Amino acid sequence: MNIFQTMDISASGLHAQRQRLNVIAENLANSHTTRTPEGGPYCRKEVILASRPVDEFAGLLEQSSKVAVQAVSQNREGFRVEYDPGHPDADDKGMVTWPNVNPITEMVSLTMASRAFDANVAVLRASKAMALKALEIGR
Amino acid sequence: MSWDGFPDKVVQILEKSLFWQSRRQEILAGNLANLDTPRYRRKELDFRKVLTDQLRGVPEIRLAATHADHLPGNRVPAGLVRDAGEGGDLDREMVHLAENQLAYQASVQMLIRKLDQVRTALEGDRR
Repeated sequence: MNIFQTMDISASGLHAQRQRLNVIAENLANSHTTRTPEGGPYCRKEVILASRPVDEFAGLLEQSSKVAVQAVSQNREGFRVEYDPGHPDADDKGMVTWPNVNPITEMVSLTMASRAFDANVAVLRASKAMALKALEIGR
Repeated sequence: MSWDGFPDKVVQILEKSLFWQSRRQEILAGNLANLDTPRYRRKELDFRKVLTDQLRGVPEIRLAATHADHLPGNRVPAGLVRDAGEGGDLDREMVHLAENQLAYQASVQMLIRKLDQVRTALEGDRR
């Protein structure tokens, strides 16, 4: 049914934005991590979203699309290198490589993600109000 | 559903507009869910055009059936949702959303009034 499909789409949006928030939280929490299981400093992660047809066959025709996290990619660019010979993770020249997490960028994406989340909640509310209104027909 | 019992086409029109308004809501939800999807292009349903087309009896685009036993496909006629060719925009989508919701509530309200009229005609003034 149409109304539930709308809610399904909004739910996919909420889910995707929440996953995005998780990754942002992870980035911020690890903004000073110099040791990782793979070795080296922590790499900033990014969520890549992709749209997906509501149901597979109908997707061949025109359909509204849900959203899903397609991949979480690691960004290996722009590590900060600082001279700190006393640090246990300093290399033989006394340079320490810090993660490429920029708190400002993360805060901006955090705000964007939470705005997008709010927008999806608003759609969900609107759809619910519409469905409830439709129930009043013939009362 | 057939509404032949009614003297005018109001109920029929309202039924169609409710259907298309909820379809539009679905499309707007899709646009908003895909706000941050790279290369996503927003979709659009021109409600006014769709409804006038339907009222004028412009033929609907459907899947071609090459055999008499083929199923007609989705009941929803195709060719009415178009690709706007641009990315989504939060504010604009929210405006469309609010507009669509109000229009839907107006349609429902009118349908309720219309059915009330019919009820009054059937029952007379019993109060």
